This record gives sequence, C-alpha cells and structure tokens, in this order.
Amino acid sequence: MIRILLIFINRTKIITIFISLVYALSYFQLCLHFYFQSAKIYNNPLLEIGYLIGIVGLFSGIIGIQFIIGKIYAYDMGNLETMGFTRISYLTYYLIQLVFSILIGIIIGIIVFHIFQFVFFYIESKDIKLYQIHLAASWRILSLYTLSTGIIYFYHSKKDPMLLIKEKL
Amino acid sequence: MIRIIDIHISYKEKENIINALRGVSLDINEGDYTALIGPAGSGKSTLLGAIAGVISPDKGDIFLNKYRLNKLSRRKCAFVRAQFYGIIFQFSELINRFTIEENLYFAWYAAHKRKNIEEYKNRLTYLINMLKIDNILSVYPTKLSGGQMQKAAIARALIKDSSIILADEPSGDLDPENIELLKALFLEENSRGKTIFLVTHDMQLAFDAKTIYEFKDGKIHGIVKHD
Repeated sequence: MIRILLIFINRTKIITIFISLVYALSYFQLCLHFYFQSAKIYNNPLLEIGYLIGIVGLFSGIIGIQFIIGKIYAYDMGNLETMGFTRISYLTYYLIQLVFSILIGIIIGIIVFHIFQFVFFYIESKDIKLYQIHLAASWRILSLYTLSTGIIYFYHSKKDPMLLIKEKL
Repeated sequence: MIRIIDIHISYKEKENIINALRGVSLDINEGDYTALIGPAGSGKSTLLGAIAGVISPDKGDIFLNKYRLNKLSRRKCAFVRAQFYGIIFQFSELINRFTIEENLYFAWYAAHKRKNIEEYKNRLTYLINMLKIDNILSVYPTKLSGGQMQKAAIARALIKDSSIILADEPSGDLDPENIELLKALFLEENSRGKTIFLVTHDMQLAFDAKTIYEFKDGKIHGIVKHD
C-alpha cells in the first residue's frame, strides 16, 4: 500500500503543489480571521462580515477547483475499478493523497502566518494563544476540505466504470 | 466456467434505442480458447464488457463459477475482476499518469496486494521477454506509439496471471510481427490452462482459437470452427 500511495503522490506532483498552495492561502486567511477576532481588531461589524464573505468566497473557489480535479481523476477511477480495485480502496488512496496535500498547505500556512504576524501585525492578545488559533484553523481546514473533496470524489466515481472510460474516448 | 444465458443489452442514444445484444447464450469452459468474430458495431465488445461485469444486461444472466455477475454489487464485481480476469481493452486504457511498470504493478496489486512479490517479478520478467517491452517500462503511456501501448495493455492484463483472459481487439494497433508474438503468447497461456475469450475481426488472430463463433447484429450467427 505504501508503494501505491507513493506512486499516487509522486505522479500528481503539479496538482499536489498547486492545491497545497491554495490550501495554504485558505489556512492563512482563516488564521488571520481568528487572530483579528481574538485581538479585537475588527472595530466594525461590517469589516468582519466582509472578511467572512472573503473566506466563504475562497472556500467556494477551492471547492470548484476540487470539482475540476475530481473530474480529471474520474477516468483513472473508472480504470482502477475495471482493474479490480473497489471504490472504497481507490477513494481511500485519493483521500490520503488529499490529506497529505492539505497538511503541506497547513505547514506552509503556519510559516507564512508567523512571518506576517511578526513582521506586519504583531499585537498581544490576552484572550487566545497562537497555538489555539492554529488548532482551530487546521481542524476546520482539514475537516471541511476532506469532507467536501471526499463527497466530490465519491460523486465522480459513482458512474459505471465503463462509462467513465467511454467518456474519455 | 462462464455461462451466459439469453442476455439482452440495449443503449439509449439520443432518441434511438440501440439493441446491442439480442439474446446471447454461450458456455465457456475452463481452458477454452474461444474467439468471437464479426463486423464492427455488432455488439462483440458489449458482450465482453458484460462478461467482465462492467456492463449490466437488461435481461438474462451471466454466471462465473458460483457468481451470478449481473446480480453482484459493484464492490463484489470489482473483486471478481481482480481475482479472475485479465482484461485487454480495445483502446489500451492505460493510466497516463503512471509509467508502464506502475500500470502493471497496479494490476498486480489489485489481485494480490503485497503477497507473492517474487511471483510479480518473475511474471514481469516473463512478459518483458515475451512481448519485448523492456525499453518502455519506465515510460509514460502518452510517449508511446499505438502498438507499444497495446503491448503494454496486454502485459497489464496478463501480469496478474489470472485464470481468464478477456481480449477486445488486442491486435488493433499491432504490426504483423507483434501479432505473431501475441498469438504465441495466447497459445502459451492457453496451454497453461488459462481460458481465453477473444473478440476480434482479425481472422489471422482468431485462427488459433479452438472455437470460433460468428457474431452479427447482437447475436451469435453460427460456429465457424470447433475443435
């Protein structure tokens, strides 16, 4: 299984790097939101609402990207199923690959957030510690994106494997 | 043993209904080498897809040993394919993201997981020698010619060493020299007790089969050869 996973990750490098950067951006945005909230930087409810709309917008954009990636993978899924892989097994490989890229995204996000926090907007907050912000943000990013992408992959794998192959032709 | 009992399959294409199979019944015993010949669009590939469990019949039954394929769940069908079938598709159907060797490894892994890795290596060496594919193992399918891709697809179907080989127009992109290689390989596999079900319009390839059926308009029209 480890060799299979390594092949999956190794052969989708560009997608993994690209999607990891997008997750990093999403993570950074969410951390910033929690940070602003905890340090009471939002002095105006409209500003907070605007920022939240930005978060939702980015999330929707990422879901759209994931939908396209799922469609790109659909043929491979059909192909793997004709080879004899069950849906649950190949979806597991894709989800492990996804979690891997989310974790890379979170690590990049943490580093960028800390750089920004020390350089641009260092403000002491007595209400919340930084690790709590990271815990809250990473948990949300990991669960939301894994769940939404899992549903997208499940949807793309739903078609008959033969139809998935014929669609490519 | 594969038993096909009066299967019907129809497709809806826009407003028209196409009856691809109109009541096909066939028995394929263990160790048989059966070929189905007929013109393009006669329903041969649909029949192969139904035997492989990737196309469900509207009516009729398909049995593979104790399994009634048309009543199995998708998961069970995948399991049956992994355990019993090596399938060669008409258009290679390799995964472009993976190298040829990785494609072969995936096929092996689907059936055997990590067990018998030595057997995988032996089987790989055997197929490399038989099909002369040593120079393409680390190459991606998109970089290969049609004939090389077809040879890789044949290797992928045979790597599992499964008991039944389903081949859909396997000689489509092959030159005469490689068709001879393929014929030798099929005969060798059949002599080792493998069941071969071949769908083709190439009489030269079908010639070695023990039984040849003529297929036309979604039905078996007659027996061309029976040893």
